Amino acid sequence: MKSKIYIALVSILLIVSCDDFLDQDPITEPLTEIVFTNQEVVQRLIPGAYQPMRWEFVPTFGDSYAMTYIYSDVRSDDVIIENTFNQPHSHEFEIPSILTTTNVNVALIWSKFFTGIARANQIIGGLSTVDETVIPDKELFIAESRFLRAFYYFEAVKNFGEVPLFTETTDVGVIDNIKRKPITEVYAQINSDFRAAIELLPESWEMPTGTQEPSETYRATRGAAQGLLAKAYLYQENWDSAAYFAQEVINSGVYALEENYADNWVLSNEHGIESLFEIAFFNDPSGGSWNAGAQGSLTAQFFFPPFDAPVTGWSYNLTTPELHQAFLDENDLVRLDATILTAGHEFGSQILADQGNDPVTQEFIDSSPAISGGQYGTGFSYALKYFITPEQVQDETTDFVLSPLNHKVLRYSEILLILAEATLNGATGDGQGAFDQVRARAGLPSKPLTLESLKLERRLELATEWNRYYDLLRWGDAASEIEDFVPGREYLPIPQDEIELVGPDTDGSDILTQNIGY
Amino acid sequence: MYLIRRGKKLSFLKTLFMGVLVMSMSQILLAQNRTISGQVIDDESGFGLPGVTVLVKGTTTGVVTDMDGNYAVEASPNDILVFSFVGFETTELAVGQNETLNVTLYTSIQALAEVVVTGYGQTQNRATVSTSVQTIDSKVIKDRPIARLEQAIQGAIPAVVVVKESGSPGAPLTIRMRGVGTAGNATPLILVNGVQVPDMNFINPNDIQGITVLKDAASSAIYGARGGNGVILVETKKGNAKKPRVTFSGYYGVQSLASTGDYLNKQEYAEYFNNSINYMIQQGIDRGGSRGRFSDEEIAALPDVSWIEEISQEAAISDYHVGVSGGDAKTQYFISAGIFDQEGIIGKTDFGRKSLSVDLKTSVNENLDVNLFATYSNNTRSFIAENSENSRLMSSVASLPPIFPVYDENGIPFNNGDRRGVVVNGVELNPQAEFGNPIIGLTVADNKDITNVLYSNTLINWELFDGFTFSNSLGYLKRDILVRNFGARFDWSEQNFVNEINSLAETTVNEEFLQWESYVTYEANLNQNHQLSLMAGTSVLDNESITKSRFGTDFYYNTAEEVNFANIVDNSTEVINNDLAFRNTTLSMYGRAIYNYQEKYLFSATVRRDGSSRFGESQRWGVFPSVSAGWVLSSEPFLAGVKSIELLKLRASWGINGNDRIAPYQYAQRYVRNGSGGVEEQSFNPDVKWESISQTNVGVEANLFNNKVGVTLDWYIKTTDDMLLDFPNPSFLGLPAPTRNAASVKNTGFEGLFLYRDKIGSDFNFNIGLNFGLVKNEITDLGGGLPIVGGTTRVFQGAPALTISQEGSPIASFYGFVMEGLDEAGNPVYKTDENGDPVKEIIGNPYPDLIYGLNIQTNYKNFDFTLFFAGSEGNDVVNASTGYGFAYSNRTKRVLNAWSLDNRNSTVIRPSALEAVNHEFSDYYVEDGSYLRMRNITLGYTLPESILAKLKLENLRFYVSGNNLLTFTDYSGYDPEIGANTSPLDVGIDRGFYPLPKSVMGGFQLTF
Repeated sequence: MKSKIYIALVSILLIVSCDDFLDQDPITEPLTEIVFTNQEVVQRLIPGAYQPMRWEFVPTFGDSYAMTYIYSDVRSDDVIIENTFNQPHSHEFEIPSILTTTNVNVALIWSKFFTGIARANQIIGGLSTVDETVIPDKELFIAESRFLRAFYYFEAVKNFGEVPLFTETTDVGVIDNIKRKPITEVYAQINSDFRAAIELLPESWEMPTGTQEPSETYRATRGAAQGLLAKAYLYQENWDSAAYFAQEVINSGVYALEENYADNWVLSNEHGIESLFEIAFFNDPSGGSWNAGAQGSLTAQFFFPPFDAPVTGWSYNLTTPELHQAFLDENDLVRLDATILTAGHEFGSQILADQGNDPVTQEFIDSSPAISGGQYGTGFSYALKYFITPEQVQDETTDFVLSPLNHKVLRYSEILLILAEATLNGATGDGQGAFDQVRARAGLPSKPLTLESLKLERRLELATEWNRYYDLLRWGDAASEIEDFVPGREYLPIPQDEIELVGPDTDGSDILTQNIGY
Repeated sequence: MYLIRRGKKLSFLKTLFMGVLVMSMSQILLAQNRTISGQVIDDESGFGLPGVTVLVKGTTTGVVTDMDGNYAVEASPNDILVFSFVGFETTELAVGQNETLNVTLYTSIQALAEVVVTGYGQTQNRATVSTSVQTIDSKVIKDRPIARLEQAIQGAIPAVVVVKESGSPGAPLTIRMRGVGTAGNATPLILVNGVQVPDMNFINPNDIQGITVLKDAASSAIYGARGGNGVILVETKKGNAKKPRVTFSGYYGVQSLASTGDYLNKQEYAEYFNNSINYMIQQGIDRGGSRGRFSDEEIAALPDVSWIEEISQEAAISDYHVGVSGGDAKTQYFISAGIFDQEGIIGKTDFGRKSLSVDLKTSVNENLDVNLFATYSNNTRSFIAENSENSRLMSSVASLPPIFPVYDENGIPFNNGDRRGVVVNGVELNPQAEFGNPIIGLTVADNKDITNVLYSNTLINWELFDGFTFSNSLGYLKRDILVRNFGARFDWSEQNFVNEINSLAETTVNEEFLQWESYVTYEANLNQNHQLSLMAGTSVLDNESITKSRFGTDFYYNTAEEVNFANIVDNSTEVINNDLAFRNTTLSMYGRAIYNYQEKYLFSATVRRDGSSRFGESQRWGVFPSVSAGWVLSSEPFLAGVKSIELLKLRASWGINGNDRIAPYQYAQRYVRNGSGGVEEQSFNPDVKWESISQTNVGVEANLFNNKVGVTLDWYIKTTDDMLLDFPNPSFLGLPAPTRNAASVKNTGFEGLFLYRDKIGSDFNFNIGLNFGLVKNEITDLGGGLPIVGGTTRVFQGAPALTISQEGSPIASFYGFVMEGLDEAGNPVYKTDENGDPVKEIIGNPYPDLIYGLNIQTNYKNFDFTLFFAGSEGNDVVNASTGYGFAYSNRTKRVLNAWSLDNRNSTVIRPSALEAVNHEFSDYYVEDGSYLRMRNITLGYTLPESILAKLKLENLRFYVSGNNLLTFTDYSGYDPEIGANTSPLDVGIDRGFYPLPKSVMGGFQLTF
């Protein structure tokens, strides 16, 4: 009888002794040590670091939006955000006096920049201890990540002012590292990162044979790093360096102006000759829509007028009558026609023609519910640079909210204007020539380069491309040009939740301080 | 009673009875009587009942029935024979001049049942249980038509909340036991025949013998790391040692919409709209692009559409089940097959289950029993998008004004959202683009879930010597799920509804669950004073899952039935999403001791050590102990004289459980592919560990007045520590929130069960059961984290999160402004802080304070009648079914009493049909979701014996039954019993649920 008991007990004990059974490594989610010992996998981290640029709607903080058009031009005198929809937290950007520190869009905008920064840092940190024999493209990956880090920090410093400065993934545990750093210190890092990127990034990315869309063309190039560095120096009022890197771009011979201004925003001409860097959007439904993984842009949904189906847009961003008038005053009809939807505009769309909207009539624009029923009066219209035709919507997208049209971040014409502005402030270079080149392409005659003419040229050339507000700020013109401007609220507030999550310092004060004015 | 037929129980029981028998031997020899013989029949099966104790009353003389239920005992004519058997009502018969006494034993009523299953081969006499355990037996299940097993528990057990996630056929049910103890997965652990299963969906309710619910820590702690949310043990039917017997049962019924809610009809909507314009004129508000007032002629010309009625229909429900059972002394079997079909009352929804089960038990020899149970079930479900504000489907139904037609004059779905203007019968209407015509969603989308489950369990009991059994159980469950979502191509260009490209998404989930339990039990009945039962064992769990999905657009075929990935036009557009696979393993050791002294002083103790692969090496193992004690006062001499008390027992228990059901690999620094083909780092926490749930329970049980009255009361405090939370990170970490053991939650509750049963005359007997559960939930600690918000909706301004979980408040409380009244213009005035800014506060609790159920069962001659009510008190609901924050949306009837110059005392915000103002989330929108519902009413008739005998039938019963025929509630939406989401943080928000249907059914039960 006893032997039987032993059999039972032994078989029970056998089970207990196999503790290895509990070691289950992830199956479909590779561990860090696997990721950073495999070139192919590291290469897949790169698109993840670009992804936050594409964040437009992410429900992390509620119904929150973080597309650039929600928080940039709407704060200027060029564009309004239409508010017949249920978006008070987007509308707050229009009127800084009511912008709250708990605004869910602000939280997402902050999160978007710092997620991008963190992902770049993850790659830089992960590769720092790996040998080049293991990851042959180690230095290139680091350079590209530094470009991305600089890109996001540039956006962060433009919108939030002083921000915490992270250059490694591991150093966030130290309170001092989380504190906001002076703007000059942030720019120093941006400069250094862009410079490092210039050293190693290629002139262009070719689509490797056999690979599928999306191609590699969206990735940062040397020209993109040079151009953005020139722009960053412009913001720092380091005129000589701005001129130097603008000149580098010009001298490279890679870029030129499109003959036809409007060709910059044609779907078939993405990453064209004039384009230095774009936020790439794809019609790729695998990332879904209305979430952080979306590959398409909501611009079609947000910018389109209420045409009849299949393209009934929301009329969200509207150009102001003041912007329209600025074009007319300068007799700048080429750029006006490409920038603002005006009566007689031809989309070249049979579908819209069948609806009686191609060419578009003034009656259609004026009777749009957003305009006729809106709260701002008349004279508003639509920002054309984000339009594709209904045919393109149908042919190129599976979902109306997955517009594949890229957002232009930096065009060659802006490089010319950076050079012009820098020379106005004492840097050497052919500022007038560059200035005239931009005007000539728009069919406008030469005129003397002055600060005033430069400011107007930037406004018209780059209209609705999300520069105007930051330009007004750095020129000191914001107070005079923007109706609802509130001094002290130039920057967005630091999200209140973020301040609370980071918590208090040893002395009880917040580690992350709020911007004055909030 | 079912328990006795389970193989692994027999050894224990046999031991008990053998003991009784041996002790009686000497007495029998002394008797000077004649022999009485007969057969004891099981009422339920109609077969002989083995193992019944037959005792001459007042003596210790007695025998035990043999395998066929036969007995022979010496007795004198003046004696009374007492037939008793666990799980059956004890019956007494006078011997008189009879030489043969046949008797039928009836199953005893559920809560008075005498034996309870406590898992791992141990059973206990109900009277000696010192933990909080409740049972439901098959009688309660079989007498009314239920579609899913969870419904058997609904309202029948105190403090167990069962809520259907929607009224859609086949929708999952959420079970919450004794409050919500975690913000994560709060579902109780479910075991079928001792094997952990992911849910009960695959089980045909007709195959169930009984359900045992383990509620306190001392009963559930033997399931250690997974028992923290309570444990539900499901036992399936077994065969018996008799000639084959066939049962055939079925019902057929019709379901329909139970309520149309309190929404405005055409006349009322027009009145509200006109009032809104009047208000704007008074206040000088520009009405923008909107149309003006409706004239009477215009109102007359418009249609009056009740959208919920337009999209609903009558739908059939049917269930057929056939079972064959039988066997001989060595081998018994039960084989069954069933077909269940339920059409949905809204759109193309349905649920069907085909199941086949086999239970086979055989005694290899005297000491070795083998029991095999296997079931295969095929479940198909068609469903629609619901409780999603982006689906434009159920959320549109309540929001869409009644003035739009469903179809245009050509029979094409009408487009109410055309922003260029909408004209109906010559009346110009404001376009309502946010809430599309729900007919579109119902007709062009096709969603189907096909789930096949194979489950088997083999149990081997080897009695090594008397009282000592070595058992091995091997459970295996394989579940294959295919979900297909098809969006059809359609062209209703006349109404500007065009979709030129159809799309298909397919997701497959393949899961395997393997469980091996190996344990020994020892029943030591040292003498009559001491009863000891020991058990120790080990467990191995292995769970693997692989999910694959792909998506494609543009297919040749355009119906869900025909379309597949072979007929995609351009296969380069096919997107294969990332596979997701995981494997979880668990190792456990456990032991339990149950002891009583003279069935008067009761003790039990358990300990379990669990190791789980879900945690990193340092946190992998957890130990979960429990103890309980009871005192049967009614066995004490000082109560012996009190005739009205049959049983009075006090009991107390304490124990710690765990909850390990978190996403796998949280401890590992790992990367995952994202949608763009890239790879992203995941958040992780190497220190993540078990949630620990400790529970103290005190209970009283009493059987009074000749067992006519039964009372069970329990008080408990259940505290969750180290609750796993997705702890928000500062954004600069660039990672989503990792899971941390941060929070604590406390649930305190009081629950009770009252039974009253009696007879009036000889033909009428009744049985009334009332149960209730009161619970109070509080988050006691968030570990320094920010309050957790949940339940976002877009229907309020700013699309806020409606619930907050913060220290000192119940989990997932509603959080919003507090409306203090209306200003002189009828706009809401909110409670403010010292700066004059409106402040948000806790304004409601979606979880009920009290749930209760009332069961009334009566029999009169051959008729039986049952009534079953269930109710909920104190749960708040946010009626987010209409678009408050959107212009022109329909509203509930409350707005007819809106503030106006003529109605200044109104508490209803001024009319604002044209504006999206005044619709911040506040207590104004929180409604009392309490309800009392007549869940079931059944009238049955069983044919009398005389007719049955002629028909050569054993039993034939017919019944008619109704579900959800009556509901008492103040809630303004379609159904106060709105579904629960799987997330405990998103509860009580009615974004447009599929309402529960009411149904009327007729059925039969036939046995031959």
